[in-house]
Amino acid sequence: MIEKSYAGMDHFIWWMGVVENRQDPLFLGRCQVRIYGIHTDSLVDLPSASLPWAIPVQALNNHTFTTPKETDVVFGFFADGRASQMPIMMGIVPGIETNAQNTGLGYHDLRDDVTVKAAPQVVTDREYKTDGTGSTIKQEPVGRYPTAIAMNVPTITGLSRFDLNPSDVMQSRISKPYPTFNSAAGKSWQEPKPKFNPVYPYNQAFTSESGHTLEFDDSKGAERVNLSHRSGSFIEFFPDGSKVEEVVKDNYRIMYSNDHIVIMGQAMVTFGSDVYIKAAGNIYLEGGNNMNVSVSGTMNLSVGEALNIKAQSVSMDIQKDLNVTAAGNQFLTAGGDMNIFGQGSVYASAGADFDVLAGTNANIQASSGVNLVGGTVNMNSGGGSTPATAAKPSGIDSPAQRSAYNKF
Amino acid sequence: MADSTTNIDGGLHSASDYVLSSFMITTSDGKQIDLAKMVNSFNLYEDIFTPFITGDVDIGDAMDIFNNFVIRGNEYVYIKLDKPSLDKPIERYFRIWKINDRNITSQALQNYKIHFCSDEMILSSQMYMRKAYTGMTIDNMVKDVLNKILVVSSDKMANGIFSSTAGNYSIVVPRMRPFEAASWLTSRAYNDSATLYFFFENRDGYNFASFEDLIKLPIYNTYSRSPKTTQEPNQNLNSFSFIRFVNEFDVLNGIRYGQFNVTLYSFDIIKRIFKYDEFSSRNLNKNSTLNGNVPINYAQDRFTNTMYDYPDATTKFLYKTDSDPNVPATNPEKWLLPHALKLAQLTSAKIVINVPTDYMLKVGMCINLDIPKMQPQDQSYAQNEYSSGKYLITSVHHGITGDVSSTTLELMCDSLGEALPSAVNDSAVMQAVKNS
Repeated sequence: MIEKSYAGMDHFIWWMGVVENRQDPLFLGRCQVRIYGIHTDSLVDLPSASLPWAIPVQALNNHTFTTPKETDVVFGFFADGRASQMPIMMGIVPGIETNAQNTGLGYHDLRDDVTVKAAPQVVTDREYKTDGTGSTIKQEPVGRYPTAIAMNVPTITGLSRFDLNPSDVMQSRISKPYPTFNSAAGKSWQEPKPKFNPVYPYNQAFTSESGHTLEFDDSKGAERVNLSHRSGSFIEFFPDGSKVEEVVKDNYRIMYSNDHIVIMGQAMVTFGSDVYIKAAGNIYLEGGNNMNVSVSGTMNLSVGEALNIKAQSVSMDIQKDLNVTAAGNQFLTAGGDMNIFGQGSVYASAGADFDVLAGTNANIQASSGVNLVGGTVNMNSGGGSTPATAAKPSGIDSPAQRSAYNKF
Repeated sequence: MADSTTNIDGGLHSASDYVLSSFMITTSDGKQIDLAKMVNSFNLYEDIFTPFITGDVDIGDAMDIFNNFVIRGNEYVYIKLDKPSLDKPIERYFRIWKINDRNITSQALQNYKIHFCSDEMILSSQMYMRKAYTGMTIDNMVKDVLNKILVVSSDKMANGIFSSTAGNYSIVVPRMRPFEAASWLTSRAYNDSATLYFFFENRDGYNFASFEDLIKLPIYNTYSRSPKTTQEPNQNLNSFSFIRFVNEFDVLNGIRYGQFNVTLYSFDIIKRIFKYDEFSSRNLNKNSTLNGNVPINYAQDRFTNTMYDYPDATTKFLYKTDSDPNVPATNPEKWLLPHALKLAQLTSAKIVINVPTDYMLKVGMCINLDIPKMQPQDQSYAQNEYSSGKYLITSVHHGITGDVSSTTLELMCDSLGEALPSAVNDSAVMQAVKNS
């Protein structure tokens, strides 16, 4: 015996219909659907607002919220059988849209102007700027469905069938300029161009109303994963595993714990403007080979405590003056000789005593005179004195001779 | 055969007298011809579960009307069926929908059967409704179907019964024929004092009536078996000449369809509320029965339960979205349960009787039936106190064959004229039987 009025045991009545409204006041993803055959296209007999709310069935693997949009053709069944007051939506039926907009007839997008105006916008143009101000877009309301560009084409995203339209980020990426970016040491690089080459039906793709996209492209030789924002920002994994991440405006990256980066090859970083780096703790820079720092302006090195430099040798090629000032004592210590050489005069001035001490001899030689001026000039010799001769000094090196060992 | 009387003005000669004064066919090209004199037999049917009247006539055609007037369907036919001394003949238009059994018996004579029905039946069969009713009562929706969809004449609307219903609904009629829609809407009708609604047509027009409103109407007549009277049945307008108890009771069908209890399980999809509502015939007060006495006793079974103690005997299960505050609730527990129970009660007992031709009889009326108790001929009349009582006319058949006419009534009853003996469940005999 088949019982009547027993859900599930009465007739299973399935249907197809057109979504006319998805503004569910209960936020359950329900849509008002005008069902072919069951309902009429007359808005007098059946206003859009009187359509029953079709309840969606979600995929079992998640609770992702998705809802069809107006003019989408959906498929489902009636939970109340022949009474047909309680439709359940099970999926969207794709097709080739041939029904132009018509707000005077059911089975069309009948949203009022206010609702349409508040709906998502579509990007009509993207301008990629390289002056550091970020890229800009132009946009306009999507409007009622179907849009002109959606007429007579399949309702599935053009990303899956290689039919891009100007609003697609991928289209912009294909047509945008690819400048060369200079890095340090004369190095330069370019952003790789997209390897977009989907073959139907292998690109599983999604395009949102405003133009966000998600692609999992299995097309042979063009396997990609791409997540794009309608503005043009995207992250894409290329067929060879390369990744391109492009942000058309500001980028923020914040980690509340550690960050680890390993770059096995070269790293080329180009900053278009100032760079600010601050570490709350220590900074360690290690180079396996040389480290080259080059600035076109002034380089200021400010150290709060000690500046310790350890090297096999230190060479400073200073094109102008060298000023070394110490608020306290200053010590110059050499394991071997210490040479001070000036093309002009050499001044050694002391506010207090000026001591010249030599472990062995102290030699003062001048091409002309030697002047010793003091309130008192004491000269004391522990041994015998040797009279000075101008013709051929002996026993000591002259300053000129010593300069041959000067390392400056 | 147009009548069975020789003097219409002379009044009633016999209970089977009739006058078929018109069977006027109007063809599609505007020709009219009255076939009343050619009618060999005539049948007219009303049914409380059917929203239209049907009928048929056997015609003996010696003028080849069939071909000369090109009767091929769609013709209108005006019928006037009267009985001397009755004040209101059946007088209305129908439409021809079929001719069959056409036999050419001689070069000059052919017989055929013309089937006709209410015009709205053909109209309803030709159209579908797909219409939204928002925030309306069911009775107003049904009126809309009749007035706006079928554009029924005011005559057919003026004399019927239209009971009120409770609750405002928002319903989209889902591709139904207008009559189908009206009947479907009727099945969802309720109010606090009504259990079951009927949508039907009778001789006076269309009706949307609750069972309770029908049984409140004055009893049209009391019919009794002629042994109680001194007259021959066909001379006595209050006598029935034939009675057949089509169904006295059917416990298994009663259980199946909810005569004793009905339970509705429902799951509200929006707020995920699963609940069940029970409705028992014990809930019905006497105003909701014809005679007030339950037709099945309270004998207990081995579980010490009576027939009325199994709420799960008949179950319904519906999904609903009544917790959606933006749409009027459908409240199936308010109409589905009493509707099922009352219908099962009513259809459990069915009697067919023949009564003297009376064109005033119509479905939806209540009559009293005085049924004799079966006993030896030499004993005086005694009434069967259980079967006698008030009945609802659920079908009427006016038939004419030759000079004889009759009216056959199908009657239904939900209760007994007198209370059954109390069940003695704790008696030794009962205990032994139950545990055998």
